[in-house]
Amino acid sequence: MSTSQVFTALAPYLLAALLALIPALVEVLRTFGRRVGFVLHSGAGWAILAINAVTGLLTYAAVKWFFGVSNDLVTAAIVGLTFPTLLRSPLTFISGVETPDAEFKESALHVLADLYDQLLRLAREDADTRQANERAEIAVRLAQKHGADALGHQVRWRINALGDVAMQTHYQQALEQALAIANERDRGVAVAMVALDVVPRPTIREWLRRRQPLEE
Amino acid sequence: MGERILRLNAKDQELLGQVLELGAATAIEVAVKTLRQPDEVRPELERLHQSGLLKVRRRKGDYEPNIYLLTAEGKQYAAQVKVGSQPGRARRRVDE
Repeated sequence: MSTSQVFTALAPYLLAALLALIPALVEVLRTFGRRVGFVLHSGAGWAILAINAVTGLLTYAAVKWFFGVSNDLVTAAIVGLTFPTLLRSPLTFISGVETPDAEFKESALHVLADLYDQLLRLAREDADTRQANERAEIAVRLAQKHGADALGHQVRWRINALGDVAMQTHYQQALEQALAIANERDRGVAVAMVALDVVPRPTIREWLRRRQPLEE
Repeated sequence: MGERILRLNAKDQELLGQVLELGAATAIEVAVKTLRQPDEVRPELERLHQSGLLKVRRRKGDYEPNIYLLTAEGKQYAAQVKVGSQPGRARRRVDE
């Protein structure tokens, strides 16, 4: 068998696996929204994508075997893009085949669903942890660069500009509490944490890039 | 192992609720969000960690090395606390 024949035989499987990543990515995007970048840094996040790719590939193999269709790219593309629907549809081969070990099959599917839920939970925890770490690092850098007093001055000005009185009161309390912290390092980081809530992100980035300290 | 019921005071519940709202957080962030002092919050988070309601992930660096997340049991307790009572950009959907 020549290399091109091997490639021709494998191409539909690869296509099904690759296209299966599209519904998986849509699902990950829908679940994690703008935090998708954090998920793609997580082993669990990649495992979710890998499971979808493998499931797409196996679904294509099963469809080919069950319906006796030829090994072609069009079928692979259809299966790759629609495999979540195919697997969940009551008309598919999974629920259509009545076997004595249906209970076992159901439990096996439950095990897979549980595994998927666990991976989603782990990916969510990884994303949460990365986000918390990023907030802490930005706060530490802001505190080191500008100090609690200068940051506090800027933050107070922005709190006063807030339209919502309840938010204004809450953040004023948070800022006063932060400025009252005895430990200098904690004080700077705490004020920076308040800044992360009330100062727009582009301004925070500008403060991080800035060579001169902020004015008090 | 039998089911255990922990008695949590209002401050514990507030800390768990805040960690639930943030997903994960350092002690100083929890202190800022709950309008409390970090030195007061750190031992309480550590106690909740020892009780099995919080788990810890380490972060690099010597400052605030712990990031706290809720355990499955901690989530059950935190879910009883009203969330979304405080304003803030970091507020997130708890059912995400």
